[in-house]
Amino acid sequence: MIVALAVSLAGGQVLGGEVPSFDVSSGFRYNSNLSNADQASDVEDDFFWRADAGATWSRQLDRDWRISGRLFAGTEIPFQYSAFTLARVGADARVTRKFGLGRTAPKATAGLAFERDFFEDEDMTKWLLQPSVRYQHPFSADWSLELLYRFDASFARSGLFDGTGNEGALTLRWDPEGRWSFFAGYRLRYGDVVSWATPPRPDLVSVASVVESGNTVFGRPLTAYRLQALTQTPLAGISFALTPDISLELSGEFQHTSRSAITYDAFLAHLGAKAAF
Amino acid sequence: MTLFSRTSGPKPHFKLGALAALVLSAALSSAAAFDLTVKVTDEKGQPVGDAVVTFTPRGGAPVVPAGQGEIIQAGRQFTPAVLIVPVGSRVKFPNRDEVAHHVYSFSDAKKFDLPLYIGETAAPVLFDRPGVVTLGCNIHDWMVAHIYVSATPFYGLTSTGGQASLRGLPAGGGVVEVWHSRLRGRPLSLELPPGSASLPPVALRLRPEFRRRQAPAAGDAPSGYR
Repeated sequence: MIVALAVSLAGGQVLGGEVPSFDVSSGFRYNSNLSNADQASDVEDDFFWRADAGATWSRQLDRDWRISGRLFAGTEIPFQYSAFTLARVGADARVTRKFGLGRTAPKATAGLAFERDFFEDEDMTKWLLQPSVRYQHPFSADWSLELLYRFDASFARSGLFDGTGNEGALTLRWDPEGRWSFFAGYRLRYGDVVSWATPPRPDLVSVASVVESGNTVFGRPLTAYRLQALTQTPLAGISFALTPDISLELSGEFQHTSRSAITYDAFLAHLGAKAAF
Repeated sequence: MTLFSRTSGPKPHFKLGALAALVLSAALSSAAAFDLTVKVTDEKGQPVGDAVVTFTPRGGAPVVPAGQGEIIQAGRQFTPAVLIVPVGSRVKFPNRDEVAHHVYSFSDAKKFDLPLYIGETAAPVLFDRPGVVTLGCNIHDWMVAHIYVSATPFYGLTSTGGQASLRGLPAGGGVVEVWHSRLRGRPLSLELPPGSASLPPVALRLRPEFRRRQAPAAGDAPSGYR
């Protein structure tokens, strides 16, 4: 799909397709439970600095159909646990169908993203495949609702970090004319997660598909468990546009993950700047 | 005498045949004409540009000859952002970008759309009803412009200094209307009594000026490990 899209977009440049657009972002994020642990003594938190950049080529096929391809790269540098240092590159292809004319016309987008994540801990290094379907329904020029379904599949060097997940999300956006915009939503994911804990944990062993003892990504030997779990996430964010092309964004989400009697929570916050030109 | 008022700011885009102007001028010169300069500000007293000021004589507006206008698309923006044309005019929408645009309007005064094109292939559009027509591009949501289709030949667009000059207005009073694309509520309507040739500054309540161009979508979940 991505190769076909690239050929189409290259032809599009010759035939009067869109000029490429670029986006960059940078900021800090915080994860209050990086170890996905359910016991307070196993919880490890960390701050990250992250930066991303992308280039998007698009072509409008007719009034309703648009195709786009994006190449992107990024990095995340943790303040404390260097095993999570990440560099990523990837490509994303999308087909969008717009139902009508103008800003308030609903849109449906099917996408497929490939990503290669290089972690400092090589066992985590993986391919990530994410097909998705997104439906955006504006109620007015200011208000819109977005529904998202996404499947993710990770193919890592270590089976511990392999996994799949199914995710659905509902996001309400308020984007009035002016510098401020807001969003709030709810995300539900069922799939593989990796949780670190101090052994013995027979309850985790009984539900885990992969168990790896002596894992030292947090500097002390813990046992890592891959298990399937349900994560419910309310999230919200606010954005302030410095210029028509550059905005600051602050967002937060609360992740509640459960599997049988095992539950753990994490609070994630992100503060950053985004630009598109 | 100049019958059609002009802004003192951007180059006017409306072209009227000289003969038609002369005929109208002759018809209206029987009454003592006067000029009117209107200053438009926001609530803080700051000058407001691109406000449309019209004058409708007490006895009604004279018949206006149709004309032509042009709004170009360049740099993925409409220029000018506000165009005034007399009712019955035709407006061209040349696309000088290398990317295709799809111009549309849902406004009651004129509904139309010009499917994807580049260059000057789109036929001029007839604006045969007075009112405000809001233009958009179906591909680039941030592109917005307005066409004010005027039922009166006496109009002007404020400059960046907030001033519009309307020249050659017929004596006898009338109604001055002020409209702006960010105006909250209905256009401001002011009575100009017979014998009066001036108005105090007009203050408008406007919505915020800022419009996002193409900010990235917010709220996507980051990837990474799970």
